[in-house]
Amino acid sequence: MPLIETKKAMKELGQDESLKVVLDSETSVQNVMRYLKDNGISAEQQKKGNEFEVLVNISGQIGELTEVDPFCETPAQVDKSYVVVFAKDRIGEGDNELGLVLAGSMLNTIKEYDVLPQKIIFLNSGINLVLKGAPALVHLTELEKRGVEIITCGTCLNYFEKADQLAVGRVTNMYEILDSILKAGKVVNL
Amino acid sequence: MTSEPKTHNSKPTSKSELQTSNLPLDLLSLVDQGGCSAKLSASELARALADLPKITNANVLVDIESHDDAGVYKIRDDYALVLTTDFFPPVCSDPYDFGQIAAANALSDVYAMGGEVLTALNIVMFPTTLPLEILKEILHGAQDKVAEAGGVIVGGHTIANDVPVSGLSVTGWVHPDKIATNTGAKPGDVLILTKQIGTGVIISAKRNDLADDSTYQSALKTMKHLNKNAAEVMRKYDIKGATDITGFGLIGHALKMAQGSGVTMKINTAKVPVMDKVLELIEMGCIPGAAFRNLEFAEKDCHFDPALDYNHKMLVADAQTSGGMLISAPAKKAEQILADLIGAGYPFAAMIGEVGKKSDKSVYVY
Repeated sequence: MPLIETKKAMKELGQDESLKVVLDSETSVQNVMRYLKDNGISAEQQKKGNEFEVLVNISGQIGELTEVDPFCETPAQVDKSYVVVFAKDRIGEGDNELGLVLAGSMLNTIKEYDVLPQKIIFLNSGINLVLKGAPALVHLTELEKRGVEIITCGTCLNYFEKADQLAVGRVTNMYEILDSILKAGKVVNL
Repeated sequence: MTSEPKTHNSKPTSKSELQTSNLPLDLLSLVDQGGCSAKLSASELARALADLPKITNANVLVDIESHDDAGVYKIRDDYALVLTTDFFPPVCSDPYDFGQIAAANALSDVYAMGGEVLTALNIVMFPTTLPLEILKEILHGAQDKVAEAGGVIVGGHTIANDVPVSGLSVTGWVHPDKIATNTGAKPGDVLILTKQIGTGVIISAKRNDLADDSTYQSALKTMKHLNKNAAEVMRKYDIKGATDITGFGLIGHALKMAQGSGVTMKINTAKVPVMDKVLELIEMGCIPGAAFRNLEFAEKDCHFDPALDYNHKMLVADAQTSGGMLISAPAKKAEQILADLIGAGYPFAAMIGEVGKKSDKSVYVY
Protein backbone atom coordinates (compact mmCIF):
# COMPACT_ATOMS: atom_id res chain seq x y z
CA MET A 1 0.00 0.00 0.00
CA PRO A 2 1.69 3.23 -1.16
CA LEU A 3 0.49 5.28 1.81
CA ILE A 4 1.84 2.83 4.38
CA GLU A 5 5.24 2.72 2.66
CA THR A 6 5.28 6.51 2.33
CA LYS A 7 4.51 6.97 6.01
CA LYS A 8 7.14 4.42 7.01
CA ALA A 9 9.74 6.08 4.82
CA MET A 10 8.89 9.54 6.13
CA LYS A 11 9.57 8.46 9.67
CA GLU A 12 13.17 7.87 8.66
CA LEU A 13 13.44 11.02 6.62
CA GLY A 14 15.91 13.64 7.85
CA GLN A 15 15.33 17.39 7.60
CA ASP A 16 17.65 17.76 4.64
CA GLU A 17 16.57 14.60 2.87
CA SER A 18 13.94 14.25 0.15
CA LEU A 19 11.73 11.27 -0.53
CA LYS A 20 10.70 10.16 -3.99
CA VAL A 21 7.60 7.95 -4.05
CA VAL A 22 7.12 6.02 -7.29
CA LEU A 23 3.51 5.02 -7.99
CA ASP A 24 1.70 3.32 -10.82
CA SER A 25 -1.82 4.63 -10.36
CA GLU A 26 -3.16 8.14 -10.56
CA THR A 27 -5.64 7.46 -7.76
CA SER A 28 -2.81 6.42 -5.45
CA VAL A 29 -0.98 9.64 -6.34
CA GLN A 30 -4.06 11.68 -5.47
CA ASN A 31 -4.51 9.83 -2.18
CA VAL A 32 -0.86 10.22 -1.17
CA MET A 33 -0.87 13.90 -2.17
CA ARG A 34 -4.10 14.45 -0.27
CA TYR A 35 -2.71 12.73 2.79
CA LEU A 36 0.47 14.81 2.73
CA LYS A 37 -1.47 18.05 2.20
CA ASP A 38 -3.86 17.21 5.05
CA ASN A 39 -0.86 16.70 7.29
CA GLY A 40 0.77 19.96 6.26
CA ILE A 41 3.60 18.40 4.28
CA SER A 42 4.48 19.95 0.95
CA ALA A 43 4.95 17.66 -2.01
CA GLU A 44 5.26 17.84 -5.75
CA GLN A 45 4.06 15.35 -8.30
CA GLN A 46 5.16 14.52 -11.82
CA LYS A 47 4.33 11.93 -14.45
CA LYS A 48 7.09 9.84 -16.02
CA GLY A 49 5.88 7.47 -18.71
CA ASN A 50 3.49 5.06 -17.07
CA GLU A 51 4.72 5.98 -13.61
CA PHE A 52 4.10 8.86 -11.29
CA GLU A 53 6.51 10.41 -8.85
CA VAL A 54 5.72 12.26 -5.68
CA LEU A 55 8.56 14.25 -4.15
CA VAL A 56 8.36 14.93 -0.45
CA ASN A 57 10.55 17.01 1.79
CA ILE A 58 9.74 17.70 5.40
CA SER A 59 11.21 21.20 5.37
CA GLY A 60 9.47 22.00 2.10
CA GLN A 61 12.75 22.46 0.21
CA ILE A 62 12.91 19.89 -2.54
CA GLY A 63 16.37 19.98 -4.03
CA GLU A 64 18.01 17.82 -6.65
CA LEU A 65 18.03 14.17 -5.67
CA THR A 66 21.68 13.27 -5.55
CA GLU A 67 22.27 10.31 -3.31
CA VAL A 68 19.45 7.88 -3.94
CA ASP A 69 18.82 5.25 -1.32
CA PRO A 70 15.96 2.88 -2.27
CA PHE A 71 13.52 2.46 0.61
CA CYS A 72 11.47 -0.36 -0.86
CA GLU A 73 11.06 -2.15 -4.17
CA THR A 74 8.56 -0.95 -6.70
CA PRO A 75 6.37 -3.72 -8.02
CA ALA A 76 6.78 -3.77 -11.82
CA GLN A 77 3.89 -3.56 -14.19
CA VAL A 78 3.59 -7.07 -15.52
CA ASP A 79 1.37 -7.62 -18.55
CA LYS A 80 -0.18 -11.00 -17.99
CA SER A 81 -0.94 -11.45 -21.67
CA TYR A 82 2.69 -11.12 -22.81
CA VAL A 83 5.12 -14.05 -22.91
CA VAL A 84 8.62 -14.26 -24.45
CA VAL A 85 10.11 -17.53 -25.73
CA PHE A 86 13.85 -18.05 -26.27
CA ALA A 87 14.16 -21.34 -28.22
CA LYS A 88 17.87 -20.69 -28.85
CA ASP A 89 20.59 -18.71 -27.12
CA ARG A 90 21.04 -16.15 -29.90
CA ILE A 91 18.84 -13.90 -32.00
CA GLY A 92 18.57 -14.33 -35.74
CA GLU A 93 20.68 -16.11 -38.38
CA GLY A 94 24.04 -14.89 -39.69
CA ASP A 95 26.84 -14.14 -37.31
CA ASN A 96 26.73 -16.27 -34.15
CA GLU A 97 28.66 -13.82 -32.03
CA LEU A 98 26.36 -10.98 -33.03
CA GLY A 99 23.37 -13.26 -32.24
CA LEU A 100 24.64 -13.77 -28.69
CA VAL A 101 25.15 -10.04 -28.14
CA LEU A 102 21.65 -9.37 -29.48
CA ALA A 103 20.10 -11.88 -27.07
CA GLY A 104 21.71 -10.10 -24.12
CA SER A 105 20.72 -6.74 -25.50
CA MET A 106 17.12 -7.89 -25.97
CA LEU A 107 16.90 -9.11 -22.36
CA ASN A 108 18.24 -5.77 -21.18
CA THR A 109 15.64 -3.98 -23.32
CA ILE A 110 12.81 -6.16 -22.01
CA LYS A 111 13.93 -5.20 -18.52
CA GLU A 112 13.98 -1.47 -19.31
CA TYR A 113 10.65 -1.43 -21.15
CA ASP A 114 7.56 0.03 -19.41
CA VAL A 115 5.59 -3.20 -19.48
CA LEU A 116 7.12 -6.48 -18.44
CA PRO A 117 6.18 -9.91 -19.77
CA GLN A 118 4.44 -12.35 -17.46
CA LYS A 119 6.91 -15.12 -18.34
CA ILE A 120 10.14 -15.70 -20.24
CA ILE A 121 10.50 -19.29 -21.40
CA PHE A 122 13.85 -20.93 -22.31
CA LEU A 123 14.08 -24.03 -24.54
CA ASN A 124 16.82 -26.02 -26.31
CA SER A 125 20.05 -23.94 -26.55
CA GLY A 126 18.08 -21.04 -25.08
CA ILE A 127 18.93 -22.55 -21.69
CA ASN A 128 22.48 -21.17 -22.09
CA LEU A 129 21.03 -17.76 -21.20
CA VAL A 130 19.94 -18.91 -17.73
CA LEU A 131 22.98 -20.98 -16.70
CA LYS A 132 25.70 -19.94 -14.28
CA GLY A 133 28.08 -17.47 -15.89
CA ALA A 134 25.65 -16.41 -18.63
CA PRO A 135 26.34 -12.77 -19.58
CA ALA A 136 22.71 -11.61 -19.43
CA LEU A 137 22.04 -13.21 -16.04
CA VAL A 138 21.98 -9.84 -14.30
CA HIS A 139 19.02 -8.72 -16.42
CA LEU A 140 17.13 -11.95 -15.80
CA THR A 141 17.69 -11.80 -12.04
CA GLU A 142 16.38 -8.24 -12.03
CA LEU A 143 13.35 -9.24 -14.14
CA GLU A 144 12.57 -12.08 -11.76
CA LYS A 145 12.80 -9.72 -8.79
CA ARG A 146 10.26 -7.48 -10.49
CA GLY A 147 7.72 -10.25 -10.86
CA VAL A 148 8.54 -11.87 -14.21
CA GLU A 149 8.52 -15.66 -14.13
CA ILE A 150 11.69 -17.13 -15.62
CA ILE A 151 11.00 -20.73 -16.59
CA THR A 152 13.29 -23.24 -18.28
CA CYS A 153 12.51 -26.54 -19.99
CA GLY A 154 13.56 -29.39 -17.70
CA THR A 155 13.97 -31.88 -20.57
CA CYS A 156 16.44 -29.49 -22.21
CA LEU A 157 18.47 -29.02 -19.01
CA ASN A 158 18.67 -32.79 -18.60
CA TYR A 159 19.57 -33.38 -22.25
CA PHE A 160 22.52 -30.98 -22.00
CA GLU A 161 23.26 -32.25 -18.44
CA LYS A 162 23.08 -28.70 -17.08
CA ALA A 163 20.30 -29.13 -14.51
CA ASP A 164 22.69 -28.29 -11.66
CA GLN A 165 23.79 -25.06 -13.33
CA LEU A 166 20.45 -23.25 -13.54
CA ALA A 167 21.14 -19.80 -12.07
CA VAL A 168 17.79 -18.02 -12.29
CA GLY A 169 14.10 -18.91 -12.25
CA ARG A 170 12.76 -22.42 -12.06
CA VAL A 171 12.42 -25.62 -14.03
CA THR A 172 9.22 -26.37 -15.88
CA ASN A 173 7.64 -28.95 -18.19
CA MET A 174 6.05 -28.92 -21.63
CA TYR A 175 2.55 -28.77 -20.10
CA GLU A 176 3.19 -25.42 -18.44
CA ILE A 177 5.01 -24.12 -21.52
CA LEU A 178 2.07 -24.96 -23.79
CA ASP A 179 -0.40 -23.70 -21.22
CA SER A 180 1.47 -20.38 -20.93
CA ILE A 181 1.68 -19.91 -24.69
CA LEU A 182 -1.98 -20.75 -25.26
CA LYS A 183 -3.16 -18.38 -22.55
CA ALA A 184 -0.96 -15.48 -23.60
CA GLY A 185 -2.36 -12.75 -25.83
CA LYS A 186 1.09 -11.98 -27.27
CA VAL A 187 3.88 -14.55 -27.67
CA VAL A 188 7.24 -13.17 -28.75
CA ASN A 189 9.38 -15.94 -30.25
CA LEU A 190 13.10 -15.15 -30.35
CA MET B 1 3.19 -27.91 -12.34
CA THR B 2 5.02 -25.97 -9.75
CA SER B 3 4.61 -26.82 -6.16
CA GLU B 4 6.10 -23.58 -4.97
CA PRO B 5 4.00 -21.69 -2.44
CA LYS B 6 2.02 -18.89 -3.98
CA THR B 7 2.41 -15.31 -2.95
CA HIS B 8 -0.79 -13.70 -1.71
CA ASN B 9 -1.45 -11.83 -4.90
CA SER B 10 -0.67 -14.54 -7.43
CA LYS B 11 -3.76 -15.50 -9.34
CA PRO B 12 -4.50 -19.14 -9.97
CA THR B 13 -4.56 -19.49 -13.72
CA SER B 14 -6.56 -22.63 -14.27
CA LYS B 15 -8.93 -24.99 -12.64
CA SER B 16 -6.41 -27.82 -12.86
CA GLU B 17 -3.79 -25.72 -11.12
CA LEU B 18 -6.21 -24.99 -8.31
CA GLN B 19 -7.17 -28.58 -7.92
CA THR B 20 -3.57 -29.72 -7.75
CA SER B 21 -2.80 -27.10 -5.17
CA ASN B 22 -3.69 -27.86 -1.60
CA LEU B 23 -3.62 -24.21 -0.65
CA PRO B 24 -7.07 -22.76 -0.03
CA LEU B 25 -7.90 -19.89 -2.36
CA ASP B 26 -7.98 -16.48 -0.71
CA LEU B 27 -10.90 -14.68 -2.38
CA LEU B 28 -9.33 -11.34 -1.45
CA SER B 29 -6.47 -12.12 -3.85
CA LEU B 30 -8.89 -11.87 -6.78
CA VAL B 31 -9.86 -8.24 -6.33
CA ASP B 32 -8.39 -4.82 -5.62
CA GLN B 33 -11.53 -3.49 -3.99
CA GLY B 34 -14.11 -5.68 -2.37
CA GLY B 35 -17.32 -5.23 -0.47
CA CYS B 36 -18.88 -1.82 -0.36
CA SER B 37 -15.51 -0.22 -1.12
CA ALA B 38 -16.14 -1.29 -4.70
CA LYS B 39 -19.07 1.11 -4.96
CA LEU B 40 -18.97 3.72 -7.67
CA SER B 41 -18.29 7.09 -6.03
CA ALA B 42 -21.40 8.93 -4.88
CA SER B 43 -20.53 12.00 -6.93
CA GLU B 44 -20.04 9.97 -10.14
CA LEU B 45 -23.32 8.15 -9.55
CA ALA B 46 -25.11 11.45 -9.03
CA ARG B 47 -23.74 12.69 -12.39
CA ALA B 48 -24.91 9.53 -14.15
CA LEU B 49 -28.41 9.78 -12.68
CA ALA B 50 -28.74 13.54 -13.12
CA ASP B 51 -30.47 13.63 -16.49
CA LEU B 52 -32.70 10.59 -16.17
CA PRO B 53 -36.39 11.46 -16.35
CA LYS B 54 -38.17 11.39 -12.99
CA ILE B 55 -40.89 8.80 -12.84
CA THR B 56 -43.57 9.19 -10.20
CA ASN B 57 -46.25 6.78 -9.09
CA ALA B 58 -48.76 7.27 -6.32
CA ASN B 59 -47.96 3.90 -4.78
CA VAL B 60 -44.23 4.59 -4.60
CA LEU B 61 -43.75 5.83 -1.04
CA VAL B 62 -39.94 6.03 -1.14
CA ASP B 63 -37.94 6.39 -4.36
CA ILE B 64 -34.38 7.34 -5.29
CA GLU B 65 -35.00 11.05 -4.58
CA SER B 66 -33.95 10.80 -0.95
CA HIS B 67 -30.99 8.44 -1.67
CA ASP B 68 -32.64 5.89 0.55
CA ASP B 69 -31.55 2.33 1.16
CA ALA B 70 -34.52 0.74 -0.53
CA GLY B 71 -37.63 1.62 -2.50
CA VAL B 72 -41.05 1.24 -0.87
CA TYR B 73 -44.20 0.40 -2.84
CA LYS B 74 -47.62 0.52 -1.22
CA ILE B 75 -49.84 -2.52 -1.77
CA ARG B 76 -52.53 -1.64 0.79
CA ASP B 77 -52.89 1.10 3.37
CA ASP B 78 -51.38 -1.23 5.97
CA TYR B 79 -48.87 -3.05 3.79
CA ALA B 80 -45.98 -1.86 1.59
CA LEU B 81 -43.21 -3.79 -0.13
CA VAL B 82 -39.58 -2.86 0.53
CA LEU B 83 -37.43 -3.56 -2.53
CA THR B 84 -33.66 -3.44 -2.71
CA THR B 85 -30.54 -5.00 -4.15
CA ASP B 86 -26.89 -5.03 -3.21
CA PHE B 87 -23.93 -7.06 -4.47
CA PHE B 88 -20.15 -6.78 -4.50
CA PRO B 89 -16.84 -8.57 -5.07
CA PRO B 90 -15.17 -10.48 -2.20
CA VAL B 91 -14.62 -8.63 1.05
CA CYS B 92 -13.00 -11.56 2.85
CA SER B 93 -10.94 -14.66 2.19
CA ASP B 94 -13.41 -17.48 2.77
CA PRO B 95 -16.33 -18.14 0.35
CA TYR B 96 -18.82 -19.15 3.06
CA ASP B 97 -18.06 -15.94 5.01
CA PHE B 98 -18.35 -13.96 1.77
CA GLY B 99 -21.81 -15.38 1.02
CA GLN B 100 -23.01 -14.58 4.52
CA ILE B 101 -21.64 -11.03 4.53
CA ALA B 102 -22.95 -10.20 1.03
CA ALA B 103 -26.38 -11.43 2.14
CA ALA B 104 -26.35 -9.65 5.51
CA ASN B 105 -25.38 -6.46 3.70
CA ALA B 106 -28.19 -6.75 1.13
CA LEU B 107 -30.79 -7.67 3.75
CA SER B 108 -29.73 -4.66 5.78
CA ASP B 109 -31.34 -2.25 3.30
CA VAL B 110 -34.76 -3.69 4.19
CA TYR B 111 -33.98 -3.24 7.89
CA ALA B 112 -32.81 0.32 7.31
CA MET B 113 -36.36 1.13 6.13
CA GLY B 114 -37.78 -0.44 9.28
CA GLY B 115 -38.97 -3.50 7.35
CA GLU B 116 -38.95 -7.27 7.64
CA VAL B 117 -37.52 -9.69 5.09
CA LEU B 118 -39.81 -11.85 2.93
CA THR B 119 -37.90 -13.28 -0.04
CA ALA B 120 -34.56 -12.93 -1.75
CA LEU B 121 -33.02 -13.71 -5.14
CA ASN B 122 -29.32 -14.50 -5.47
CA ILE B 123 -27.23 -12.28 -7.69
CA VAL B 124 -24.04 -14.12 -8.50
CA MET B 125 -21.07 -13.78 -10.81
CA PHE B 126 -18.46 -16.49 -10.86
CA PRO B 127 -15.26 -17.26 -12.81
CA THR B 128 -15.42 -20.41 -14.92
CA THR B 129 -11.81 -21.12 -13.89
CA LEU B 130 -12.56 -21.62 -10.18
CA PRO B 131 -13.79 -24.86 -8.63
CA LEU B 132 -17.57 -25.05 -8.20
CA GLU B 133 -17.01 -25.89 -4.54
CA ILE B 134 -16.29 -22.21 -3.95
CA LEU B 135 -19.56 -21.17 -5.61
CA LYS B 136 -21.39 -23.72 -3.52
CA GLU B 137 -19.92 -22.25 -0.34
CA ILE B 138 -20.88 -18.70 -1.33
CA LEU B 139 -24.46 -19.78 -2.04
CA HIS B 140 -24.57 -21.74 1.19
CA GLY B 141 -23.50 -18.67 3.17
CA ALA B 142 -26.16 -16.52 1.51
CA GLN B 143 -28.84 -19.11 2.13
CA ASP B 144 -27.97 -19.45 5.81
CA LYS B 145 -28.09 -15.69 6.32
CA VAL B 146 -31.44 -15.30 4.56
CA ALA B 147 -32.83 -18.14 6.69
CA GLU B 148 -31.52 -16.42 9.84
CA ALA B 149 -33.36 -13.29 8.67
CA GLY B 150 -36.57 -15.30 8.51
CA GLY B 151 -36.71 -15.05 4.72
CA VAL B 152 -36.42 -17.51 1.89
CA ILE B 153 -34.30 -17.57 -1.26
CA VAL B 154 -36.62 -18.21 -4.18
CA GLY B 155 -34.11 -18.20 -7.02
CA GLY B 156 -31.36 -16.19 -8.56
CA HIS B 157 -29.18 -15.52 -11.55
CA THR B 158 -25.56 -16.45 -12.21
CA ILE B 159 -23.22 -14.89 -14.78
CA ALA B 160 -19.69 -15.97 -15.69
CA ASN B 161 -17.25 -13.20 -14.77
CA ASP B 162 -13.54 -12.74 -14.07
CA VAL B 163 -14.10 -12.08 -10.38
CA PRO B 164 -16.76 -13.51 -8.10
CA VAL B 165 -19.62 -11.22 -7.10
CA SER B 166 -22.31 -12.07 -4.59
CA GLY B 167 -25.41 -10.34 -3.33
CA LEU B 168 -29.16 -10.41 -3.23
CA SER B 169 -32.22 -8.72 -4.53
CA VAL B 170 -34.47 -8.60 -1.47
CA THR B 171 -38.17 -8.12 -1.03
CA GLY B 172 -39.42 -7.16 2.40
CA TRP B 173 -42.46 -5.51 3.81
CA VAL B 174 -43.24 -2.67 6.16
CA HIS B 175 -46.35 -0.98 7.50
CA PRO B 176 -46.49 2.38 5.72
CA ASP B 177 -46.70 4.16 9.10
CA LYS B 178 -43.48 2.50 10.27
CA ILE B 179 -41.21 3.44 7.37
CA ALA B 180 -37.85 4.86 8.42
CA THR B 181 -36.01 6.94 5.82
CA ASN B 182 -33.22 9.42 5.22
CA THR B 183 -35.79 12.20 5.48
CA GLY B 184 -37.04 11.48 9.00
CA ALA B 185 -34.36 13.01 11.25
CA LYS B 186 -35.64 15.93 13.33
CA PRO B 187 -33.89 18.71 15.21
CA GLY B 188 -33.57 17.64 18.84
CA ASP B 189 -33.04 13.96 17.93
CA VAL B 190 -30.08 11.98 19.19
CA LEU B 191 -27.95 9.93 16.78
CA ILE B 192 -27.39 6.29 17.71
CA LEU B 193 -24.99 4.00 15.86
CA THR B 194 -25.56 0.28 16.45
CA LYS B 195 -22.26 -1.28 15.34
CA GLN B 196 -18.57 -0.46 15.56
CA ILE B 197 -16.95 0.97 12.44
CA GLY B 198 -13.59 0.24 10.80
CA THR B 199 -14.27 -2.78 8.58
CA GLY B 200 -12.85 -1.05 5.49
CA VAL B 201 -9.54 -0.39 7.23
CA ILE B 202 -9.34 -3.93 8.60
CA ILE B 203 -10.03 -5.59 5.24
CA SER B 204 -7.40 -3.39 3.65
CA ALA B 205 -4.98 -4.36 6.43
CA LYS B 206 -5.79 -8.03 5.94
CA ARG B 207 -4.99 -7.65 2.25
CA ASN B 208 -1.60 -6.21 3.19
CA ASP B 209 -0.88 -8.78 5.90
CA LEU B 210 -1.17 -6.15 8.62
CA ALA B 211 -4.25 -7.42 10.45
CA ASP B 212 -3.85 -10.04 13.15
CA ASP B 213 -6.37 -12.84 13.15
CA SER B 214 -8.49 -11.61 16.05
CA THR B 215 -8.84 -8.19 14.43
CA TYR B 216 -9.86 -9.78 11.12
CA GLN B 217 -12.31 -12.10 12.88
CA SER B 218 -13.91 -9.19 14.71
CA ALA B 219 -14.51 -7.49 11.35
CA LEU B 220 -16.06 -10.67 9.91
CA LYS B 221 -18.28 -10.99 12.95
CA THR B 222 -19.63 -7.48 12.75
CA MET B 223 -20.21 -7.71 8.98
CA LYS B 224 -22.19 -10.96 9.38
CA HIS B 225 -24.29 -9.52 12.18
CA LEU B 226 -27.84 -8.87 10.90
CA ASN B 227 -29.50 -5.52 11.53
CA LYS B 228 -32.76 -7.44 12.04
CA ASN B 229 -33.11 -6.81 15.77
CA ALA B 230 -32.21 -3.15 15.34
CA ALA B 231 -35.11 -2.80 12.87
CA GLU B 232 -37.40 -4.37 15.46
CA VAL B 233 -36.33 -1.80 18.04
CA MET B 234 -36.87 0.93 15.43
CA ARG B 235 -40.44 -0.23 14.81
CA LYS B 236 -41.12 -0.46 18.53
CA TYR B 237 -40.19 3.20 19.01
CA ASP B 238 -41.66 4.48 15.71
CA ILE B 239 -38.29 5.66 14.45
CA LYS B 240 -38.70 7.72 11.30
CA GLY B 241 -35.10 8.56 10.48
CA ALA B 242 -32.56 5.78 9.93
CA THR B 243 -30.03 4.45 7.43
CA ASP B 244 -27.43 1.71 7.42
CA ILE B 245 -23.76 2.61 7.23
CA THR B 246 -22.12 1.08 4.16
CA GLY B 247 -19.88 2.17 1.29
CA PHE B 248 -20.07 5.95 1.78
CA GLY B 249 -18.88 5.63 5.36
CA LEU B 250 -20.39 7.16 8.49
CA ILE B 251 -19.74 10.67 7.16
CA GLY B 252 -21.33 9.97 3.75
CA HIS B 253 -24.46 8.31 5.09
CA ALA B 254 -24.89 10.90 7.86
CA LEU B 255 -24.61 13.58 5.19
CA LYS B 256 -27.26 11.92 3.01
CA MET B 257 -29.61 11.68 5.97
CA ALA B 258 -28.92 15.26 7.10
CA GLN B 259 -29.54 16.60 3.59
CA GLY B 260 -32.58 14.39 3.09
CA SER B 261 -34.06 15.61 6.37
CA GLY B 262 -33.04 19.25 5.97
CA VAL B 263 -31.16 19.27 9.26
CA THR B 264 -27.60 19.58 10.55
CA MET B 265 -25.97 16.69 12.38
CA LYS B 266 -23.19 16.88 14.92
CA ILE B 267 -21.01 13.82 15.35
CA ASN B 268 -18.71 13.42 18.31
CA THR B 269 -15.93 11.11 17.08
CA ALA B 270 -14.89 10.30 20.65
CA LYS B 271 -18.25 8.54 21.06
CA VAL B 272 -18.18 6.63 17.77
CA PRO B 273 -17.71 2.92 18.47
CA VAL B 274 -14.63 1.65 16.63
CA MET B 275 -13.13 -1.81 16.35
CA ASP B 276 -9.84 -2.52 18.11
CA LYS B 277 -6.64 -1.75 16.19
CA VAL B 278 -8.42 0.37 13.56
CA LEU B 279 -7.02 3.72 14.72
CA GLU B 280 -3.55 2.18 14.97
CA LEU B 281 -3.85 0.90 11.41
CA ILE B 282 -4.97 4.31 10.17
CA GLU B 283 -2.00 5.85 11.97
CA MET B 284 0.25 3.47 10.01
CA GLY B 285 -1.22 4.82 6.77
CA CYS B 286 -3.57 1.91 6.18
CA ILE B 287 -6.31 4.10 4.70
CA PRO B 288 -8.27 2.52 1.85
CA GLY B 289 -8.85 4.57 -1.30
CA ALA B 290 -12.60 4.50 -0.64
CA ALA B 291 -12.07 6.65 2.48
CA PHE B 292 -10.43 9.38 0.39
CA ARG B 293 -13.24 9.09 -2.15
CA ASN B 294 -15.88 9.43 0.57
CA LEU B 295 -14.14 12.41 2.10
CA GLU B 296 -13.86 14.09 -1.29
CA PHE B 297 -17.58 13.61 -1.83
CA ALA B 298 -18.68 14.72 1.63
CA GLU B 299 -16.31 17.45 2.74
CA LYS B 300 -17.81 20.43 0.97
CA ASP B 301 -21.00 19.98 3.02
CA CYS B 302 -19.26 19.01 6.24
CA HIS B 303 -17.25 20.88 8.81
CA PHE B 304 -14.40 19.14 10.54
CA ASP B 305 -13.29 20.72 13.78
CA PRO B 306 -9.71 21.98 13.30
CA ALA B 307 -8.81 20.23 16.56
CA LEU B 308 -10.09 16.90 15.24
CA ASP B 309 -7.36 14.31 15.00
CA TYR B 310 -6.64 13.27 11.40
CA ASN B 311 -7.06 9.56 12.14
CA HIS B 312 -10.60 10.13 13.42
CA LYS B 313 -11.41 12.16 10.32
CA MET B 314 -10.35 9.25 8.12
CA LEU B 315 -12.19 6.80 10.39
CA VAL B 316 -15.57 8.45 9.80
CA ALA B 317 -14.86 8.33 6.05
CA ASP B 318 -14.00 4.62 6.09
CA ALA B 319 -16.29 2.61 3.81
CA GLN B 320 -18.21 -0.01 5.77
CA THR B 321 -19.56 -3.27 4.48
CA SER B 322 -22.73 -4.49 6.18
CA GLY B 323 -22.31 -1.73 8.76
CA GLY B 324 -24.63 -0.78 11.59
CA MET B 325 -27.73 1.33 11.67
CA LEU B 326 -27.58 5.09 12.18
CA ILE B 327 -30.79 5.94 14.01
CA SER B 328 -32.16 9.40 14.61
CA ALA B 329 -33.95 8.90 17.92
CA PRO B 330 -36.22 11.31 19.80
CA ALA B 331 -34.07 12.60 22.69
CA LYS B 332 -36.61 11.65 25.36
CA LYS B 333 -36.55 8.00 24.41
CA ALA B 334 -32.90 7.78 23.40
CA GLU B 335 -31.65 6.18 26.63
CA GLN B 336 -34.37 3.54 26.47
CA ILE B 337 -33.78 2.84 22.78
CA LEU B 338 -30.06 2.47 23.41
CA ALA B 339 -30.69 0.04 26.26
CA ASP B 340 -33.04 -1.98 24.05
CA LEU B 341 -30.45 -2.11 21.27
CA ILE B 342 -27.73 -3.30 23.64
CA GLY B 343 -30.15 -5.90 24.96
CA ALA B 344 -31.00 -6.96 21.39
CA GLY B 345 -27.42 -8.01 20.70
CA TYR B 346 -25.64 -4.78 19.81
CA PRO B 347 -23.23 -4.33 22.73
CA PHE B 348 -21.32 -1.51 21.04
CA ALA B 349 -24.37 0.61 20.24
CA ALA B 350 -23.73 4.20 21.31
CA MET B 351 -25.06 7.75 21.10
CA ILE B 352 -22.66 9.48 18.78
CA GLY B 353 -24.19 12.88 18.21
CA GLU B 354 -27.24 15.00 17.82
CA VAL B 355 -29.50 16.57 15.23
CA GLY B 356 -30.01 20.31 15.06
CA LYS B 357 -31.62 22.88 12.81
CA LYS B 358 -30.10 23.28 9.38
CA SER B 359 -27.06 25.56 9.44
CA ASP B 360 -24.48 26.33 6.75
CA LYS B 361 -22.96 22.84 6.82
CA SER B 362 -24.97 19.63 6.97
CA VAL B 363 -22.64 17.66 9.24
CA TYR B 364 -20.24 18.89 11.92
CA VAL B 365 -17.60 16.43 13.04
CA TYR B 366 -15.61 17.03 16.19
